[in-house]
Amino acid sequence: MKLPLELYVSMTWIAVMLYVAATIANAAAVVFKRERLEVKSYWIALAGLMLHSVILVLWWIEVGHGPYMAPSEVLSSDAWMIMSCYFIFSRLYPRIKSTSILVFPLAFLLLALSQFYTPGIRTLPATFRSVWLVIHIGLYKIALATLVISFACALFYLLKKRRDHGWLQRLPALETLDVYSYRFAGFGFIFWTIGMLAGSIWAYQSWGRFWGWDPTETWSLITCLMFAAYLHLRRFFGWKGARAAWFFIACFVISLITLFGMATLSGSIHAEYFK
Amino acid sequence: MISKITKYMTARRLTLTLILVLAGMMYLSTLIPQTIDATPGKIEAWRRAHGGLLWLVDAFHLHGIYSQPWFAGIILFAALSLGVSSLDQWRIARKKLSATAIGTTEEIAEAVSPQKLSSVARSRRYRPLPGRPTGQLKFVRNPWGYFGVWMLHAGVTLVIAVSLYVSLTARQGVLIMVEGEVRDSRQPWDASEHGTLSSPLQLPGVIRLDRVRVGFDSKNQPSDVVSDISITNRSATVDSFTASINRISRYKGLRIYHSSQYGDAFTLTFTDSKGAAHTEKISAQQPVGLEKAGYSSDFSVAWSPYLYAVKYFADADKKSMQSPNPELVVRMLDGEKELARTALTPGSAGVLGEYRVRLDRVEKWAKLIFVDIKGMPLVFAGFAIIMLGGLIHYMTPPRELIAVEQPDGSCRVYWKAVAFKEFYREECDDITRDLKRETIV
Repeated sequence: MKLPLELYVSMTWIAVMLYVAATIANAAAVVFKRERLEVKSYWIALAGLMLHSVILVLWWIEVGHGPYMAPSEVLSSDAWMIMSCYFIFSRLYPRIKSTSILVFPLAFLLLALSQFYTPGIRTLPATFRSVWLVIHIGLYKIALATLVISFACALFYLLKKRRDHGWLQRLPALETLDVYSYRFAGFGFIFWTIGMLAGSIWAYQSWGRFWGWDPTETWSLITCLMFAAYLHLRRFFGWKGARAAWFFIACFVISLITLFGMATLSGSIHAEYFK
Repeated sequence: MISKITKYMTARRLTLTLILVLAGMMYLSTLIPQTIDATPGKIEAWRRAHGGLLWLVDAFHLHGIYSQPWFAGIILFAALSLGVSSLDQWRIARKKLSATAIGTTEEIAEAVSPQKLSSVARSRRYRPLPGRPTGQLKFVRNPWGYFGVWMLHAGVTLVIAVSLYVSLTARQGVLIMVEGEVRDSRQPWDASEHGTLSSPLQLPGVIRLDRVRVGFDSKNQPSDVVSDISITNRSATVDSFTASINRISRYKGLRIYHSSQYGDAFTLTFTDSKGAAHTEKISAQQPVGLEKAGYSSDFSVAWSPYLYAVKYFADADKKSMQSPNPELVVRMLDGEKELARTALTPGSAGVLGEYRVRLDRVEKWAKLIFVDIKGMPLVFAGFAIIMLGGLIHYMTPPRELIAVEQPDGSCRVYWKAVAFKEFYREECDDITRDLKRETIV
C-alpha cells in the first residue's frame, strides 16, 4: 500500500489534534475535578495513539525501514513510544495515571515538532539493516518513555511539596510519587543499559568493534553511570524526597542531551543520520 | 586483613566515588578533543584557545584519556571493587533467601491456618521455601530476584575484565582494494592497529579482490554489497569466499568485515600543457540514488599545486544504478575555492584548468577489515548476565510471606517486599484481604 507524503502529513496532523484534545480534556478534568471528562481524555488519547500507530506502520512499509532514520521519524516514534508505554504501565500501575498531565502534552509537542523537520524518505545504509539496530533503538525509546514517567513523578513531587492545594491535591501522595519516580528510574536505567549493550553487539557485527568512544556512546555511558549513582544514592545512602527528585531531574536532563543534543551537535555516526 | 580489604573494596562510598569519577573523566573527554576522533586541526585549534590549561592537559595526556595507563588503572580498580562486591552480593543473596527474621516485615494477618495460608500464597505465586525452622513457614514470590544485584555486578565485572583483555590483545588491518587488485602478504595494510600485548597483524596470504557486487532495491538504495575475495596461502592453496556487510566471513581465525565504504574507482589521465601525462586512481563512495552523488575526499598530487576532488552519479542518463556509463565530475581546488571543474563519462575527455583529463576506466572498490579478536564470547556472556540480572532485580524483586506458628496451631503472617515496598502495596493489600476473608470463613 502506497502512502503519499501529503496523506502522511495530514494524518499526522490529525493525530496531533487528537493528542491536543486529549491534553486539554485531561488538564480540564484534573483542574476542575471532572472524572468523566478524565475518562474521555484517555479515550481521545487512545484514538490518537491508534491513528499514530497506523501512520507509523504505513510509513514503515513505504520507506522500507523503521522510524529511526530521519528526525521526523525519530520524534514521531518517540512520541508513540511514550504514549504506548504510558497506557501499558498505567494499566499495570494505576497510580501513575496522573502523569498523563505531562505525558499527553509532551507527545503532541514531539509529534508536532516532527512535522517541522521535512518528512521524507531517507536511505538506510546496508550496515543499518540489522535486527540489533531495531533492538538497540527500541530499547532506548522504551527507556525514554519510562524516564518521562519518572520525571513526571519527580516534578509532581516537587510541586506538591511546595504547595499542596488545588489540582495538586488530586495527585497521589508525596510518598507514592517519590517511590514511583524511583521505580521508573530503575526501569529506565535497565532499558537504557540493555539498549546500550545491544548497540555494542550491533557495532561488533557491523564494524568489528564493540566500543569506540564515539561521542554519543560516551554520553550514553555517562548517562548510565549517573543513573547508577542515583540508584545507589537512593538504595544505600537513604536519599529520597526533594533531594532525590532534583538529582533525578539532573540525570533526566543528561539523558535528553544524550538522545537529542548529541544527535544534532556531535560528529558521531549516531548524529550522521539524524541531521 | 582480608576482611579489611573486602570492607574497603565494597564500601558504598568507594562505589559511588568510582562511578562519579568515571562519569567525570568521560565528561572531560567530551570537553577536550580526543585523538581517537578529532582531527589534528581541531586539536590544534582547541590548544590555541586554551593556552592556560595546556600544562594540565599535557601532564595527564588528556587528549587521549582512554588510552592512558591511569585511566586503565581506574577501570581496573573499579572492576576489582565490583568483583569483590559481587562475592559479597552472592553471600548477601544467599543469606536473604534463607533469612527468617521478621524485623522489617509487616504483620498483615493473624489466626490463619497453615493450609489456608498455603492456598492463598500459592494463588498469588508465592512458593514455599523448604528447610524452615520448626514453627515457621516462608513463602517467596520470585526467589531468583535475590540474585539480581549479584548478577548485575558479576556481569559488569566480567565485561570490564574481558574488555580490558580484548583491548590489550586485539589487532586489525584494513585493506582498500579495487576489483582485480592483488596484495602480497609482505605488503602493509592501508591502516592497522594492535593492542599493547599483541604484535602487528600480518596479511594472511596473497589477497585478491575478485569482484564487488552491489544490489539495489526498488528505491535505488544499495541493499546488498558483496565482495568476492580469494586468498592464496604459502602452500599455494587458493581459498575463495565472499565478504558482505553485516555477514562476517572467517579465515584462519580472522574475522573479515565488509565496510560500508565502497563504490567506484576512476582511473584518470591528466595531461599538462607540455604533454606530460599523469595517471591517478580515485575512489568515491557509492551514490545512494540516481539523483544523488557519491563523493571522494579532497586529495593532492605530487605533480600539481592544487587540491582535487571528485563526485559521481551512477548513471549519466539517470536511468539505472547498474549503468556502465556513470557521470564523473572532477574539481580543481585552491583551498576551498573551486578553480575549475569538468564532467566526464568513461572514455571521454575534458579540460580542467591547465590540464586535459581523460576518464580511462571505472572499477568497483571496497574496504575490508580483517580482525583478530579473542574473548568476545565472554564479553557477550557478560552482557547477557547484566541484562538478566538487571531485569530480575528491577522487574521481579522478591516478596516474602513469613508465617510464625502460634500455640493454638494457627499462624501470624508477615509480608515483606525486598525492594520497592510501596510499589507492591496493592499486592500486599490483596493478600491481606484474601487471608482475612479465609480466616473469617
